[in-house]
Amino acid sequence: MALSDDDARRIADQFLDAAKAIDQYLDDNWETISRADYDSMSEAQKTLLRNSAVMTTAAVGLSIDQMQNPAAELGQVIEEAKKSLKKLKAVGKAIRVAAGLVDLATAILAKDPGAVFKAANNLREEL
Amino acid sequence: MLARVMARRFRILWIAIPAALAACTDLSAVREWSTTSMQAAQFNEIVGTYKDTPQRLVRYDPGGAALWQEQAQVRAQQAEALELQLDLVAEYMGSLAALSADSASDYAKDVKTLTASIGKTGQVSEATVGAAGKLAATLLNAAAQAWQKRKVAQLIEEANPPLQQILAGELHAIVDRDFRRDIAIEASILDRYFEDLLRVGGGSDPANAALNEWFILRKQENARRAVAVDAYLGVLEKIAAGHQKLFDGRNDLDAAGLAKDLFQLAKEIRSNIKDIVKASG
Repeated sequence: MALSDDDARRIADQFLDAAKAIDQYLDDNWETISRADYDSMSEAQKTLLRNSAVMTTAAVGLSIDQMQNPAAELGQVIEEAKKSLKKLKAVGKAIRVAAGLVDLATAILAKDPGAVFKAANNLREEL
Repeated sequence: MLARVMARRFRILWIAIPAALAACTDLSAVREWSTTSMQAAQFNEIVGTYKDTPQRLVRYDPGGAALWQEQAQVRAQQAEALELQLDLVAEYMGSLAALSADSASDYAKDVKTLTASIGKTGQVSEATVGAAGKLAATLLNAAAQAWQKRKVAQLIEEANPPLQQILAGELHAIVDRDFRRDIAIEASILDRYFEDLLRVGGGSDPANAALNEWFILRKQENARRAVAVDAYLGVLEKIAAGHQKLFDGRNDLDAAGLAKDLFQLAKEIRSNIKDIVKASG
């Protein structure tokens, strides 16, 4: 059976709790305990803490895996938002293009080459 | 005939203008909350803290050096993935803020350019062009704002399930349980290292005093990391709560109650950001 992120977290917590229990024991008894016992319990505590860290990394990895699908969904929503924003901007652009066309038509009717050139350039910038 | 047509057009206008104005909407609370959320999601120093834990701990647990190095490699990859997730959340919030902006649906300037161009043709009186321009801008803006409001509501509706799964589900568990535990592990390893040295090291009194000072300093750094975790967890919870409120009120996004809640959440998120900055300093 595959390990779930919840399993990994529970095991990591248990390792940490056990390590803390040893720490408490060492704090309470360090004046009476033999050096050999102290060293061996200290090493056991370190091992439990390392194991807790390893299970923590495993839990994070499993959670990251579970975020892949919602992240892909959110990515699609962001793309839709960008399209909507483009549409809103396109309305403003369409109005500005219409204004440019009116300017160009006015200049052509007025037979003013300078104004035609300017209006055409302005229109090109909008397109 | 002409009089009848004109009268009909005016009647349509009198109906259209109030309807258009009613469609006008205030998305300023949505915008402020999403902008603040976008900024807050990027204060993700705690991901770096998690990534670097093995490198910090190897100094205090040299016996586990090989294991810590292996962990450092795995965590470096995880940190990249986590930062991508948080960037995605920030990007979504940025999109929401941009789509909620007043300027996105304000065409007054564009219409003014158009009416100025029409005015230059000399075929329509200036007064008529001016009045028509104002009316066109009002109607166009109102229609665009109504469309904008619908799009924002649709965006919120579609984003809420994946966003909640990321923020209130996986990321919350990672920060609340894993990052918090990681800091507790670091605290225990620091305790063991310094206590072992102080108890059985047999150093001189000045050496022990210096060691004790170093121990306190490291524990203070560890405590600051815990504060940053608490603050970032607060950010995640407030972003998730705010978006859930938006989802629940998506059909009435400019409701006073919703705006009040969002402004309050934005204020609290800014306070969390200050705590993160203070803890990182």
